[in-house]
Amino acid sequence: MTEILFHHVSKLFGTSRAVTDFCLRITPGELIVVVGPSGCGKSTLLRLVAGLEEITSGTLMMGSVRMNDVPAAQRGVAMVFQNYALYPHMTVRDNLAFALTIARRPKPEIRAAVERIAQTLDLTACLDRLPGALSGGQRQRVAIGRAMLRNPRVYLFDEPLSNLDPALRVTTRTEIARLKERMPDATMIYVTHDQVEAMTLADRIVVMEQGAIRQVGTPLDLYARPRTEFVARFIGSPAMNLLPGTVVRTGPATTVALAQGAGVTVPIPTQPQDLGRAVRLGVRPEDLTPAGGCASIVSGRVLRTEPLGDVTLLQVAGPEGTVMARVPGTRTDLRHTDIALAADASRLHLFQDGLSLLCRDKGAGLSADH
Amino acid sequence: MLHPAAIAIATLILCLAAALAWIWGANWLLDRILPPRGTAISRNIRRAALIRPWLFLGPALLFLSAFLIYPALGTIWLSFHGPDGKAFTGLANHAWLWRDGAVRQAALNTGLWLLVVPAAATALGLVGAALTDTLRWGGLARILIFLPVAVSGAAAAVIWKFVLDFRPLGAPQTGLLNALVTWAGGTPQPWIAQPIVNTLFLMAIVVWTQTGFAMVILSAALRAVPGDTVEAARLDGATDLQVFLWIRVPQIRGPITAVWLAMTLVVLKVFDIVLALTNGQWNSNVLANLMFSWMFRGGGDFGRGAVLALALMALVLPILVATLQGGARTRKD
Amino acid sequence: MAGITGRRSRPILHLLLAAMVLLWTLPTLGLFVTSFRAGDAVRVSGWWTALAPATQSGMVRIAGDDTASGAVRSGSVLRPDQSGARITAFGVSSRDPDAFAAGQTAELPLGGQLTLHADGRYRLVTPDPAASGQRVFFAATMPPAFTFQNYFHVLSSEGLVGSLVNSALVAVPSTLLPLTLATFAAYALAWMRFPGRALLAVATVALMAVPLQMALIPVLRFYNFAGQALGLDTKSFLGIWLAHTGFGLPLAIHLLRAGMSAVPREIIEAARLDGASELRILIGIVLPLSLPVLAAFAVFQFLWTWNDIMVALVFLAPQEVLTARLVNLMGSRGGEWEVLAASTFVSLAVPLVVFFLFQRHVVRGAVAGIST
Repeated sequence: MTEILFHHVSKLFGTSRAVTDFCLRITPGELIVVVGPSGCGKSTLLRLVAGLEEITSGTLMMGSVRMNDVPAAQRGVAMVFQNYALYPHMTVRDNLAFALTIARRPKPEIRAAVERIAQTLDLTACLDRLPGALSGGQRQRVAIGRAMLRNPRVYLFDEPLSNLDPALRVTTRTEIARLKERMPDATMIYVTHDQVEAMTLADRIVVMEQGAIRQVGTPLDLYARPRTEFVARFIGSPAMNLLPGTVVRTGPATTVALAQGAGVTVPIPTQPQDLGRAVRLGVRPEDLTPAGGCASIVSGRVLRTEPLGDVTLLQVAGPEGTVMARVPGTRTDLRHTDIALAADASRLHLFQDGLSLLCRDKGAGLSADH
Repeated sequence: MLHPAAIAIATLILCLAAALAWIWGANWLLDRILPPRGTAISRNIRRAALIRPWLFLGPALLFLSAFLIYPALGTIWLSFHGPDGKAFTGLANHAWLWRDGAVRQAALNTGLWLLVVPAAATALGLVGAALTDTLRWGGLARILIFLPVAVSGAAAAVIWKFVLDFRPLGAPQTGLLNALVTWAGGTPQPWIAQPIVNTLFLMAIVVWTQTGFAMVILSAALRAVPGDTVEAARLDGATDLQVFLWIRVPQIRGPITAVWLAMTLVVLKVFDIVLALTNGQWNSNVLANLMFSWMFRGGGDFGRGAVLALALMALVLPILVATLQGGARTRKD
Repeated sequence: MAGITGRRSRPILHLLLAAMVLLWTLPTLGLFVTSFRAGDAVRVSGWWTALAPATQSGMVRIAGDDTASGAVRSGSVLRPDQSGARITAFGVSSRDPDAFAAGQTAELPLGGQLTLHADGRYRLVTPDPAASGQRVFFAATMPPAFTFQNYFHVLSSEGLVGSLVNSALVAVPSTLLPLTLATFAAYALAWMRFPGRALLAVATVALMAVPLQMALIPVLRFYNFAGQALGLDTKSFLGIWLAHTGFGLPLAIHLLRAGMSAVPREIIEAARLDGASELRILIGIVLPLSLPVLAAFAVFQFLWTWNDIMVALVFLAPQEVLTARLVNLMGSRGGEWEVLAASTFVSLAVPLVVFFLFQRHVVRGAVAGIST
């Protein structure tokens, strides 16, 4: 049961900022997933928690202890690395036992602990093999087992699934989820660039960009109410369409004129001074449906159809640029036809200068509310 | 009285034990003085982390200073002193370096070596690498060409002196080269005693010993060239030779330069082959051998030896700068 | 077969490589063959003639024998050491030395018959038992004659055994000592963070380029000084070990650092998280994982110290190592190629065995040393 608190944590490599003014409270037993494009500082964040990098400024607390200067081995954290980082010259048994051996625990205790974990993770059969002789999935399980054996307060996962093939990724993902259910007290930080992993595993997701937090929230919260264009496009696949337009009527509901001339009314409040300002209308591909007579948002020619079996992705060339739509069934017949697409007004988003108008009134601070 | 070999082995074990004892003892002491626990834990760990690297580096740095850095400075100091290294003579040795005919001869030869040997060894190594990588029996050929790497300069000198052996006209020529010359209708020559010719043969011997080295490095580099660039060039209609010259070789310019520089360093230090074969007679001397002569012959002249060592160092300097610049560039990438 | 320069290997390429291989092996082969030839053979014929059976002609005078009772004499025209030879033809006069084939019987001009068999046995029937000096001319095919005599000679009477031991006593410690010291230094440079690390790494690379000649005189002066002050022998094994250690360290640190840096960073970090100390990480993780590069340096340093002559001449003059002995022999036994040849291969035996056993490591070491 360990709470982790980041208080204005920053990390500089020379003059380049890897993590900037990072503030976050992780409640005990929570599984936090940190997502973001590569180079956004999410791995550095993990390494700061692990103690593999020194914090440049700010405070990192675990429970009530300041962790900034505590050496990695004494923080009670365990890390699962992207490439597993198993000791290639040691058997699985020795790999699992390494930390306990260093801690000079009695041999029978080590042996019992190793066998217990091996049983849990279905590794008993390969205990005396070298990591090189294991499959990717087995290696991953050894890496997780090695972390579990140390009985840490905090688990850190650094893109643990990215080296597995897609099928194995799904099964290992559910395995990690099951593991978390079995250890409800363990606090976990999980770094990934895969938004599906983030959506399926996380209690809360932290979206990072350029070393800073862009938004924190539950997966569905992030999906339904992205605070910025960046978050809106990062969560959900294919990414949200953003159509340029101008505010033509303000009030409790806002009317936006798109390039086509069509006016769309969105139930998002705006102020009178917003009148005439440029905004972007956000609509997710899965919210677009062929307009059966009712007012359309986008219309244009279908350039390509991408049938995925259950749904078909449409690439529509509209006056605002190319728009992606996701329609049910196999609709390859729509290729090279003209189509009009409509959407439920309550599922639309409005962004001004990259920020969602929906969240504008909830205070300017993006990361202050933990 | 113990056998010297037994004493030597005992000394060796003592030396190794001392080195290991130092590492363990110093580490243990550091953990005692700055224990990684208790109230001052973070301060202790930070300080210990600053000290520990120097414990690991200590013995090596001591040796590097005692056997390379101090002597290098000592050589500079000696170059201003007389034969016994005591009397200060100012720039007399340096002036002698510019005036002396033997030095000029050796410097000229060393220059010729620098022009010919690295280029020849690298080029032959490249050809060898290309051929051994192409042909099915290349593996065996590579080992055979690489073999002289294990041969000492003294042994290489004997091997080649036998090839170049000369017997007076009429006697059966048992040296391979003169036998071939005789067989082709020519006159056998005392190759080693002929100025310029002997230098050419000395250079050929060094090329012979170094080509294998260049070959294995360039062969590894050639194999690291991405295969798709070669396939792309083939699809573009390039012939085998064109693929090699225009696609593969340009992509290993880095290793080629590195090999060439390494060969240059080898050439500057060349000593044993010259010593064994001609010992600098018949105008074949090089700076490294001349330096050795001045060190020991006739009681030795440490001042002049030192100034010759400095001359060698001056020749190495540009290569050193080039290597370090290359290293800095790759580190930045 | 796909390759560097061609999809199919062309004859010209085979020819080129064959020429190269020949040029690189023939000189060594020649000396090797010579080391097994008898000295008088070496002086009259090239080593290449020793490989094929040689045709040799000879003449033997069958001595008269007063005590012989019968008119029949028998024996062999070949000496015991020529036992492998086969007689092809013989004759009884110098004008026609190969008139008869082996096994035939020749009528002697003065009466009597001579039969000479291919294995050299003859049977002479003469009317006069005491008649002396029947000359027999013959042509014989001599098999290639090889002997270990040269090796016995150089090992016993030229004192090469002592030099062999000395070379080993120089090379083995001169390999182990820098290896040990460089292991710790390279680990610090590869995996410890401290100010000045990058500078030190560059400095070691720079020291590799310093010619040894720069170091010789001051170190020798220091040894002389220390030897006199402490009353020790200035030329000792310990002295040459320490010198070789100092001279070998830059390459050792450079190679080992490159090898150790190749261990994935995550593995080191996992060990740190597991609570391992620096020494534990070095011994338990990094060292086992960089064994190949350790072996590569060890092989290189061993070959270099075994084959070195300059450092040995400066610091070890009285106890000659093999290379020094060889150069010495070149001066004193210049013409005796069979002695020189056998000595050369005695000195080459150990490096060649090491080379063949660890050939892969030598290649890896060479590549790692140049390309990093």
